[in-house]
Amino acid sequence: MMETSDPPIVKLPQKRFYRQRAHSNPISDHNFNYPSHPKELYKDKCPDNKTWDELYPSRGDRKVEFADVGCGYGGFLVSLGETFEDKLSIGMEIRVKVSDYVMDRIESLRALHPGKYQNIACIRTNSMKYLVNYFEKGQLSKMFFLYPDPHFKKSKHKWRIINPSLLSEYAYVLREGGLLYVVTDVEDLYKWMTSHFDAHQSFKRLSLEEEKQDILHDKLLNRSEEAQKVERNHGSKFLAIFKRI
Amino acid sequence: MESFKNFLIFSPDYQKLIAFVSTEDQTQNFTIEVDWNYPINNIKPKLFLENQENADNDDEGKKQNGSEEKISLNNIAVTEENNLLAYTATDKTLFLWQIDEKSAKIVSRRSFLRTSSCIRFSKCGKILFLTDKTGDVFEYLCDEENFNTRGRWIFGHISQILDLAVTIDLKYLITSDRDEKIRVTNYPKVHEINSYCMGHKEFVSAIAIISDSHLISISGDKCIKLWNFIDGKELQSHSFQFVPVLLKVISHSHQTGLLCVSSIENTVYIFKYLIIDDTMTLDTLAEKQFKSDVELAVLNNEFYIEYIRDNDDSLKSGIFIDRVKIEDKTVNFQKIFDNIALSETDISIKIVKPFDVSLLFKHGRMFDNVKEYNDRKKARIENKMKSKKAK
Ligand SMILES: C[S@@+](CC[C@H](N)C(=O)[O-])C[C@H]1O[C@@H](n2cnc3c(N)ncnc32)[C@H](O)[C@@H]1O
Repeated sequence: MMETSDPPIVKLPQKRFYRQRAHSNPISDHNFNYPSHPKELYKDKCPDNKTWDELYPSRGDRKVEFADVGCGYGGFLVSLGETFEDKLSIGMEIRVKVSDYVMDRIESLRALHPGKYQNIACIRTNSMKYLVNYFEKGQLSKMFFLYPDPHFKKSKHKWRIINPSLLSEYAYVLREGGLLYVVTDVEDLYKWMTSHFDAHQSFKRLSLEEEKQDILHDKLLNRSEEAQKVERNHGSKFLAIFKRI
Repeated sequence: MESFKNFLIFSPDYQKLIAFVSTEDQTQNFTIEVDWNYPINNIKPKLFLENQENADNDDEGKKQNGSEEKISLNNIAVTEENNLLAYTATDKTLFLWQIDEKSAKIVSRRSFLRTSSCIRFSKCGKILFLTDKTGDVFEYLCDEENFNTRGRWIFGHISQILDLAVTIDLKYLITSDRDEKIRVTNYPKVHEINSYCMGHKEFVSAIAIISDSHLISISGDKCIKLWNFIDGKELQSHSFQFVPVLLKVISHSHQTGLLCVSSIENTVYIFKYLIIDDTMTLDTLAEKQFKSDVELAVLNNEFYIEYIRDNDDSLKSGIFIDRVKIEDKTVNFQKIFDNIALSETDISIKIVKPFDVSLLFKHGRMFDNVKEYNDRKKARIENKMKSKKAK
């Protein structure tokens, strides 16, 4: 039963109010609020930012362990939270409206299912620049990069969210043995990314067998909005999982 | 400005000449001309590790072809040991000279990819690190067999790099950027980030290593911070009344030394520092306001300040250099050099800062697309409420 002080009807947010141009430039400075050090979000208050306790009302002394980077409309994030109920997952999204949609979505889910969905949250940020403002060395055990923007032009390869510079940063926030998941529907991008992982000494790809056995395997391929779009267009999907060594 | 033996080295016009000014005997001064016809090794370093071609049409390149803009010199570095001087130029070439007390000769001119922001040699002088405005770091070997070897990409930030420091033992490269970050990268395993020193709230304009584990940084947030860079821990922060831009350090021991800091308004401050139990106290010894931009250098445990001033005996302006003479607690700014005896040559003297600090501030001057969106969303919801009420 819903409490009477709550708004009488809670509806999931409607996506049509939150649509936004697909690509934003991750290199330019838009107005972002971010902590100047990860420890700031563990305080009682952090000016201009929500603290971890504000984002996860029943956090206790847990820290975020899973990050869905470029989470889009959050379909996979929701599923991730359902799969790992005792782990905290964060969605990071650069687009204002899209991240706002995810925040509203989580709020409605929490209202519709009291006590549930307490373990997921979304922040608007440019993860390519501010990841280490949020996470300490070795804090994360899983990172997800699902259907990242391809940035086809060669001169824009630096904008790719998986690139050799950033792989070192991902290796820094991931603990040893942690996993990094990549899925794309663009074969060239898949080749480009996997070649950079191969060249990077902090990552080792799992075997196909191990990849198939991952509990998230199927969800990676069909839970996010982008995955469903690819599905509708009968596109192919390429998946790879790397271990932080 | 850099130093070599008893010389201060700088280019008075960032174009034609490089001046070597002796701090002991003005008759030893000499200049060399930059040979812009020296052949370029056009083999550029590759961005990232791969076998792929570089993004060919980088927009900066285009700009240069179109305009009449003259090529000029940019960043300078000098080795401590094997007598090398390096300058980057705006045509994206890296000049290397072998120098001695009387002359200098070019030994190579190698290409790089994007406008450089800083160059530094390793202590041994065999490796030069070049950072650029798009955030990448390249390594150029500078031992004799490799004078002309092409550069190699080693790692990157997603932000303009403003300064780079190398530990004496070459175990770490430390880089600071416009996004308030200081990154400590292992060397030679450059794919490993050892730590980040996080805490500044604006661009980190300069860093200096002062002991095996201590680092000092200055930032557009007006703070000077002391770090243990090995574990990325902030030990202390002091606020200045001004925005610091340039930083030079003379360490007397692991605990004590002197700092020379210039401000955005071209005031130069001299501080004595003392570090006890990871806390730093700063004692202001002197400050002096200059009318032009300044450059700083350290030579034989003394600070030198380069600036531009009207000559006393002629109407021409010239390059002046002051030595900061510190005895106990009294500080004197002694003019050791004025003009460059170049007044005859038609060069236009100037001092160019490594970057335009005023363009680096982020907070409070950016387009606020979040606020715009939230305002519209609020309006939308309010409208809906109104129309509901109307029904
Ligand atoms: C093609 S979408 C995929 C979204 C989602 N993962 C899915 O599978 O539905 C890529 C998303 O990454 C976001 N993005 C791109 N660059 C980003 C960055 N630097 N930081 C955070 N998000 C970013 C984009 O705004 C976009 O929503």
